[in-house]
This record gives sequence, C-alpha cells and structure tokens, in this order.
Amino acid sequence: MSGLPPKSSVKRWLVTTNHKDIGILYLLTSLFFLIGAGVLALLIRVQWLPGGSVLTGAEYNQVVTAHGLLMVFWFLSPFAFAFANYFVPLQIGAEDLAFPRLNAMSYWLYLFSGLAMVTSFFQGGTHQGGWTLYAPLNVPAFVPRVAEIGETTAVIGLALFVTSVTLGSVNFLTTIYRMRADGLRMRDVPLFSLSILLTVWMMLFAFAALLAASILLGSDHLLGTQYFLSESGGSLLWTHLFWFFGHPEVYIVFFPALGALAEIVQTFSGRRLVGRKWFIIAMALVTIQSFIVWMHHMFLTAINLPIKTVFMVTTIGISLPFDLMVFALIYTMIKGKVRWTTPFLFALGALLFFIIGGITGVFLGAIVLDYQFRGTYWVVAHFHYVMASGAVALIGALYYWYPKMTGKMYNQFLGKAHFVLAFIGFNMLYFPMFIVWETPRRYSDYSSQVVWEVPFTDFAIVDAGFTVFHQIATVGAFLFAASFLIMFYNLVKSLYSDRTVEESPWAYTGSAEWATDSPPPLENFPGKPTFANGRLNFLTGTEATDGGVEVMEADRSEPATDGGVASQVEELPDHSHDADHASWWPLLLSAGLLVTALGLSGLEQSYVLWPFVLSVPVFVAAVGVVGARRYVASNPEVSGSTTTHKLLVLGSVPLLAGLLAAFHAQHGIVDGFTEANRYFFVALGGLVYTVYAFVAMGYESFEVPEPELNEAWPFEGVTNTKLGMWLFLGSDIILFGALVGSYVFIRFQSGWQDWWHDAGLPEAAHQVLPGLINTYLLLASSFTVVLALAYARRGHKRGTMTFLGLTFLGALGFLANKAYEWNEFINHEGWTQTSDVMGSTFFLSTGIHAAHVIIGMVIVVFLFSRASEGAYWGEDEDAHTIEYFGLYWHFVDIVWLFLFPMFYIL
Amino acid sequence: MLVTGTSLSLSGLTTVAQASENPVAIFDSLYTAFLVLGTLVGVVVIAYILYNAWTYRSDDSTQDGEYDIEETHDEESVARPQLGEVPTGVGKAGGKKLFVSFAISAIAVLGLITFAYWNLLLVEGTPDDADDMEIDVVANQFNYTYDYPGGENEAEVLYVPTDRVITLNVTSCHSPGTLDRGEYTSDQIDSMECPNVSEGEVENVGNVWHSWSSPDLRASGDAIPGQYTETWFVADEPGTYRVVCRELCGSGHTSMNVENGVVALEDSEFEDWCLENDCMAEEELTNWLDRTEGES
Ligand code: HEM
Ligand SMILES: [Cu+2]
Ligand SMILES: [Cu+2]
Repeated sequence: MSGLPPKSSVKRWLVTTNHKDIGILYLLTSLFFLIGAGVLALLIRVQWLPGGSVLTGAEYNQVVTAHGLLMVFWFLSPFAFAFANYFVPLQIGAEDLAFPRLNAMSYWLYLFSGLAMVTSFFQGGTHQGGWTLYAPLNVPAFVPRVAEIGETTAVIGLALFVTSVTLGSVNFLTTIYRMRADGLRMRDVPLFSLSILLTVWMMLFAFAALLAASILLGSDHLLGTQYFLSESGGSLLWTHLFWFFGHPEVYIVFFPALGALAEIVQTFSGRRLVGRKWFIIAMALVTIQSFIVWMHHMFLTAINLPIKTVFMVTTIGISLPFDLMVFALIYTMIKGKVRWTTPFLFALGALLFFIIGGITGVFLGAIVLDYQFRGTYWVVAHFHYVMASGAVALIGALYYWYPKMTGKMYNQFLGKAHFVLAFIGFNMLYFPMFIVWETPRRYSDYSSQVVWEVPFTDFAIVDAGFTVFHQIATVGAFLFAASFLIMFYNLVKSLYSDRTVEESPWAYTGSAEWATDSPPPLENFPGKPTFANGRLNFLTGTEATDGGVEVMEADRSEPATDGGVASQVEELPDHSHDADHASWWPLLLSAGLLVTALGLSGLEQSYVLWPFVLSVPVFVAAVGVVGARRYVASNPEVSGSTTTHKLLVLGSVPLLAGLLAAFHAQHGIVDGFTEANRYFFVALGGLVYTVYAFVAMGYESFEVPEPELNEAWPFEGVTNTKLGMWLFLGSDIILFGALVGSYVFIRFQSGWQDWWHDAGLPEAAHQVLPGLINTYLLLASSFTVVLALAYARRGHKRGTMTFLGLTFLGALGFLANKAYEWNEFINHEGWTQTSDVMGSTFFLSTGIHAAHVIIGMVIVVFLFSRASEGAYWGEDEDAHTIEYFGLYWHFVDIVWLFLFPMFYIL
Repeated sequence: MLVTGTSLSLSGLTTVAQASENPVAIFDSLYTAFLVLGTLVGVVVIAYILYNAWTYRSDDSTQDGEYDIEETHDEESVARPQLGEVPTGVGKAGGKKLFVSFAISAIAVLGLITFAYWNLLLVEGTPDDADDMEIDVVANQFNYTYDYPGGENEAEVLYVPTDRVITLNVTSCHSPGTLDRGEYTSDQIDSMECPNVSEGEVENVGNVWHSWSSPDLRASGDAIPGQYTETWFVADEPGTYRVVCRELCGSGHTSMNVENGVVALEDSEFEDWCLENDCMAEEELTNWLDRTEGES
C-alpha cells in the first residue's frame, strides 16, 4: 500500500506512517492525556480545600498515582516526542524516520497503553501506591481484592508503553545517526535534534530497566512469583530498579525541553548560542551521569556512608553541567535582539522555573536535608518546578512551531495572556508548597496544626497559616488550568484564521525546518537537502532552474548564491516515488496487543501461559497461508505455493493437537475451556489476532529506501536495519542485566551461600547436566546460523534451508530438554515459581530466556518460508535478513552463557 | 546583601559546633546556610536573566513579515543565526564569561558538598561517646509500635526521657517465622513480627514500606520489611512531638499522623512509666539515667 489519503480523511490518520502526521497524532493524544491528568490534579487540590474531602483515602491514592503516571509517561514525554517526530527529520534534512512503520507502531502502542491505564480505573480501581509503585505495596498480597485486575492492567499498560518507547528510541537513534543531510556533521545537528538524540540514548537503557521491573511485577501479579514480596530485599530491589530508570527518566522528560529552550532563545535573541560546543558537552555529560545518581532517592534506606557520600557528590555535582547550560542561555541574550514574543516568554518562564527547581534539588542532594525533606511537599514542589519547567518550555515550543505545523499564526495577545496567567497560576500553586514543606506528601487530609517558623525571626504561623498556603495553592491550580483553556481556544480558532505563514514567520531562524513550506510537503523539502558546500541547498532531480529558485528561497539573506545546483543534478537518486507512506498493520497489530493486554489482566495463574502457547500453531499456519498468498500474488509466473507453505499449514494441525493435549493434561480439555473466565477468551482471541497481524505485517511489501547521499558518521558501514538491531540488542542487554542483577541482589541479601539449600528443592534435584546440555545445543545452533548465512550469500538455496532447519532443531532440543527439567521440578519435586523466591528467580529468568529462544524459532519459521520462496539466495541484499537474525540468535546464546553458571553452577 | 548572607551562614556554622549533639540544630544550621545561599543565587541569577532580556529587547520598529522584526546582519561582531547555515556557535565570543561563571559555580558547589558532608558525619550514627537507649520501631498498616530494651511491651506511643540520646531501629513488621538472618538477634527478630498474625497464618507476608519521621525532632528512617534503619534524636524539652509516615503505605497512610506520637518526660516521670511498663530492668534504668544525667 502506498497511496496516502488526504488529511481530511479519517483513514489517513489510521494508516499514515509519515513522521509529520505521527507528530500531529502524538501532539493531540498527549494533550488529551494532559487534560485527563490535569483534571485529576484539580481533584487533588479540591481535596485540600476546607471541608473538601471529596475522596476516600483509597480513592485519593488512586488519583495521585494516576495523575503522576499519566503526566510523566503519557503527557510529558510523548508531548516532547510530538515535536521530535515532526522536526527531527526536518532539522537533519531527512525524508522520514528510518523505520516509518515502526514509528507508527510506537504511536499506536503509546495511545493504547494509555487507554489501558485509563481502563484500569474501571476494573475495580487502578494502582494505589503512587507513581513510584513502591514494593511490596504493589504486589497482590497488599492490593485490595477488588482492584487486583485494575492494578495488573496498569502494570501491563506500563509494559506496553515501554515497548513503544523502546521502538521509538531505536528508530530515532538510527535516523539521527544515519540519515543526516549531506555535509551535516554530528556536531552540526541543531540543538533540539541533539537533545532528542541524547534523550533516546537515555531512554534506550533506562526504559529497559523499567521493562525488567514491570516484567517482574507483572509476573508477581500473574504468575505468583515473589520478587517484591521477598523479605530478602524485595522492596529495596524495586527501588533500585525503579530509580535506576527513574532518575534518567527525569532528564528524559527534561532534555527535549532543554533543546527547545536553546532553539527558542537563539531565535528570539537573534543570536547564536554562546558556547554551543560546551552546551553540547554538558548535555552529554548529564546523559552519562544520570545513570549514577539514582540512590539519592534512597538516602533513608540505610545504605552505607561511603555509598551515600558518592551519591551525594554525583547528585550535587550534576547541577554543574546544568549551571553551564543556564549561563550559556543567559549570555546568548546579551547583545541580542530580544523579542518578547509568546514562545520567548514561555522559554523565559521555563528558565526561571528551572533555576528554582534546580536550586531546591541541590537542597535535596544534601543528605542531612533530604532526611527531613523526603516524603514532604518540598519534594513535590521541587519536581514540579523542574518538570513543569519542561512542560512550559515545550508549550513554548508549541507556540514556536505551531505556525510551521499549520501554516497559520495564532493570536499573539492571547498567547501572551496564556503565559501571564500560567506563570502566575503556577507560582501560586507551587511556591507556597516550599513554605509549608513540612506537609507530608500524599496525605489525603492534613488539617491538623503545623507550625511554620519564619526563618530568622520569632514569628511563627500556626495552623491557619498552614491551611492558608495550601488554599492559595488550590486557587493557583485553577488559574493554571484555566490558562490552558486560552491556549486551546487560541490554537483551534487560529486554524481557521487568515493569518497565513510562509516559510518562517520568525526572524533569525537557522535550522532547515524553516526553509520549507508551512506545513511542509509530504517529502519535506523542495529537493534533496544538502550542506555539502557549507550552506543548505536543495538538489532537484528534474529541472535545474526549479532547484535554483528554491535555493534562493532558502538563502534569503544572500540571494546571490545560487550556483552549484545544476552540476549536481545528475547524481541525485530519486526515491520519492517508490517510498510507501501508509500501512494498516501498525494500528491493527497494536490493537491486537491492547486486547491481549486487557485479557491477560484477569487471567488466573494456571491459565496465563496458555493463550501464548495456543497461538503458536496459528502463527505457523498464518506464515503458510499468508506467505503462499503473497508469493503467488507477487510472482505471476509461479503456479502455486511452495512445499514449505503447504507443510507449514499441514504441520500446524498436529502441533495444535499436541498443545491441546498438553492443555488437557493440565486442565482437562472440556473443563479447561468451560471453567476459564471471560478474560481467557479475550486474551486468546487478542493473541491469535496479534500473531496474524504480525505475520501479515512481516509479509507486507513496504518500501523504505535506504538513504543515499547523506551523512552517516559514525555508522557509514552498516545498514539502517543492522544499526537498529544492534541498538535493540543493546537495550535487551540491560533487560537481562536487570534480571540477573535482581537475582544476584536478592540472593546476596539472603546470604548467597545457602540459597539453593533454602529453596524447596532437594539438593539432589538441582543438577548441572540439563543446563550443560542446553549450552551445547545453543552453541551448535549458533554455528548453524553462521552456515545458513554463508550458504545464502553463495546463493545456495538447499544449504540455506538445511541449516536454518538445523538451527530450528537445535532450539527445539533446547526447549525439549528444558521442558523435561521443568517437569521434574514442578511435577515431581513440587518446586515452582511460587514456592520461594529462589524458584521465582530461577523460573522467571530462564523462562524469559526461553521466550527469547521461542521468538527466535518463530523468526526461523518465517525465514524458512521466505527462503522457500527464493528470498535470500543470489546476490540479493536480502541475505541481510538472515544476518540480522544471526545477531539476535548469537545474543540469545551469549545470554545463556551467563545464565548457565548463575543458575546451575553457583 | 552579600554581607548579611555570609554572616548569617557563619552564625549557622557556629551553632553546629555547639550543638553537634542534636540533629535539630544540625539540620537548622545546614538548612539556613542552604536557604541563604540558594536564595542569593536564585535572586541574582533570575534578576540577571530579566535584566538581560529587558536590556537587549529589540525596539526595531520595522516589521518584516507581519509577525516579527526585519532580519539584519550588519554588525560583524554579533553572530546572528541565518537560515540555512550550518548551525555552529558564536566562535569564541562569550566563552570566557561562560568559563568564569562555571568556575564560580563549581567552587560554590564544591563548598556545598563539603559542608553537607561534614554535617552528614555529625548525624550519621549516634555520637561516638553517646550512652544511648535503643528502641525498635516496628511499622505496620497503619500504626507504629515501639519495643524497649525490656522487650515484650508494644507501646503505641514513644515515651522517652528528655536530654538523652535515643537511637531508633526502624523496620516494617514481617510475618512470624519467616525472617531468619544471622545479623539480627532473636530479640530483634521477635520484635519485628507483625502483631495479630500468628505463624503459618499468612505465608511470607510482612508489611509494606513506611517511613517513620518526627519532624520536630528531625529524626527519620525508612521502615523497610526485612531490615533496620537507624536514626537518633534528643528531646530537649518535655512535651509531645508529632510522628508522621512519609512513604505512601496504603489507604490509611494519612492516618499515620500521630500528634502525640512521641512523649518526652522528665526523668522521674519517665522512670515511673518505664517501670510500670517493663521498658527496662529497674536497676539498669536508674543506672542509665544517673550516668547520662546532664550529658547532652
Ligand atoms: C540540579 C539538578 C537536580 C538535583 C540535584 C535533584 C535532586 C533530587 C533529589 C535528591 C530528589 C529526591 C528527593 C526525595 O525523594 O527525597 C529529587 C526528586 C525528584 N526530582 Fe530532582 N533533582 C534535580 C533535577 C531534576 C530535574 C531536571 C527533574 C525533572 C525534570 C527532577 C525531577 C525529580 C522528581 C520527579 C523527583 C521526585 C521523585 C519522586 O519521589 O516521586 N529533578 N531530585
Ligand atoms: Cu533523581
Ligand atoms: Cu504511610
């Protein structure tokens, strides 16, 4: 499918894979969540009015939790990524992101994960433990019965969101590294895009830790493992995992805002950023340092003095690079031509908020102060100043880029009015919280007396003073909220105004997005952008004179420059015709995942794995059927499907029968299905559908030209897909690192040595041999993949298929051996993942690895079918697919080399 | 302004030296120093931003398009952004200023770290020579119980004598019979067990994470299942002090806010209370009270 319907058609927005459309979708969706989370915020503040107790304790906790989660995950980050989607390709001179369909999937998964979160409210209640989800309050033992399903949905929603983020990170990294316009060196990338680059680096690793945490938590909910209930450090484990993610996360939400700030200050000061190089170095430093400050959230947990001190130093120290950035922004204004437009006002406001937030953060970094500030409104005020600083800067970005995205200018007066009201409202809302900081955080009612002593005086405010400050805050909250009504009115109304905008409404803009129409055309630029001769030029493949005109447009300030275009016309590759921009599958696949997620949330423990197991034969059959159909459709000369297709379809039947037999063994086939609850069928249906959509998407022909004539340092040597695969595996390393780390942590806390003896597993049963056999099997299967690739490169079809088949058999042997071992443990020794925390770590860690093996086998089935269609032989580039699979497979192998000693030998 | 700032923080320093035996004073001096310095920095920087933004505002009246001023690129010295340029910085301009301000903030930050570290040493662990009383705090949903050296008694209010160093070992309760770790004495293990739960009744279920805090006494410690967190305080005056919970612990979190959570008594009153409640063996108690009389 390639044609993209017009913007007025609803279908366009469902099928689009274009980065600008997706940017708009992100923008609208994140604003929708802003409204939702904002209403919850108002509820919190109403609770604090005199006699305002509208919510019970449990309800209040849910509101606080959902407000935090929605704002941080479903508003702030995606709001930033609306601009990232829209403007990163424009700023670096690319036509789209590297993987457009994946980008669409990121969006749909984001939307659906948010909907899952919202749904959880209506399943008896959502999570009640705050956005930090501290353990063990987050496990079923402490969750009210009625809310059990809702809590699980919230956790799964979080995991879906992480998936979306991971896909997005891989996509943006690949794009920024490999698709810059010719001549645009890494260091020349505009600041907003650079800030996104650093953000996605942090995301790639930080969110992998959150994925691990949510997998463990989800498993505690659904499979009955005992990670976070464990008294051997279970609750500390959660805080480590969460904050290892959580601290980078606070920069993840702030960095895009920082990039936007730099752009806005630069434009509206009419001056290039002072110390640009140092600004970038400082950002890069923070990116790295953000991973070594997390324990400042745990100062009161009895970690020892040296470690605490180190974290105090890294924490307070991280304010230094920020100081430098703030000073750079300030000095940029000097000798500038500062225009107090709406975007500039918001940037200015954000800068002031950030300074206040940063200074109060340094207070928190001083451990002795943190001992008292922890869990109080000081923390609440601090992080709202920094986070809202981010939000305010991004609102500035919206006002900055709105004319570019819509081609219309908004009403400047209303924009400024929005700012004034927001600025006053915000300060009224949060500044008083610093004054009455002694208020404990997350209390639903605090009417009793607190004394606030005015520093350096004998003056103290008792009781009434306390409530007065909170009441001011409540009024501020409503002002702040109201200011957004002005914004919505202004922006919507302006769409229909006649204040049109050409390329750039602002003076002193620099980056490439301002050199094209507003809004930009589908292919972004009037020609292929290049910086090869030191300035932005557009090369066109057709008439040299057309190009010349465009170049003059771009170079408004120096209209004389228009040479050098004609000479380059010939070499220009023109891909704009064969690129695809539309696909249904990202939407359909993500929808399938949402249904699956909702189904999973209500499954009983003994049913959890079955939907997955039973959808395997569906996958096999789908590959056969869809593969055959596509094969025949795209090769008119062949008479019918290949033998492999037929075998797959036929083979799926006995496979299904075998798996049903296994189901029968556990539940009884009739009883099993009749006694299963509704959720089981939802999950099963959802997964079957997801599997089908996955196959269909895999077979869809979707043309994304590899970029040519562009800057790809430092990854010139690899293709986009290979780089994407590397990056994905990078995040997977963190996932397994976190899993193994969790095991090591808990085992260490309970005294390492006697671990397996304490487990409900007789020592004799804990044997090394099965693990050893599996190590050999996996190593052998890695070897066969290498051979399959070698044969594919030589164009040897039989050899390719043979070795792919052998790889599959190796994996199958691995699983069979594991099944035998598990059967011993579970059915003969009675040792399961629920028996003890040892069992939890053993079954979950090796189980997730086994899931990776199964995914590998699934891919092999797919490759096998494609190979039978003749996809990989010959000089064709397509043999790469086998190479990428090989990367994945070796990785799975290496992971086992770590798991094996950890779980079998030590 | 600068002068007052320094003298105030200096007076803060002297207080620390005098009252190193009381977390309240340590906190106050550190907080004051940070507050003064933080306000100073905040006000100066914010004022400087506003000053620049205002001073260099553009009063060009010529409107280029309808929405912004006309772009001019006449002054060679100022690097103005130009559409389509390779986005570079301003070269060397402003670099020196940037470094000077960076160096100043680096010194300030290092100073803060040192000062904060020194204060940390003062509150970390009870004072070396302190002859303290150790009390276990066991958190539960949704109350705290206190176990005195005498054991057995599970007071719901923390009674302490004035002017003595009191060390608290804060934990969250756990289910009976599940915790068996070498580092704890069996007394401690017993005291950590959740009241109203008998062995085998609930498997492996301790309680959740709470955070015990007495704002007035400046003592806090996270109550985490399966481990102890230490904190200490000295109550100068007889009277009652508030206790709050500072980690969201469930629907009753708000109710873990006890106005009279800590009661500090004169020696004789404490003695009466203690003997009545078996908080300590009589002889031990009188010895301790005598020994520590007027010490802090
Ligand atoms: C100068 C830099 C900063 C320092 C030194 C700093 C320090 C801290 C410290 C020590 C805490 C822990 C407080 C506690 O729970 O006891 C904290 C909390 C927090 N900070 Fe910062 N911070 C800084 C910048 C930021 C930024 C840029 C953001 C976000 C944009 C941020 C967001 C948060 C959040 C969300 C929390 C609360 C987490 C929670 O408990 O829910 N901080 N900060
Ligand atoms: Cu942090
Ligand atoms: Cu609590």
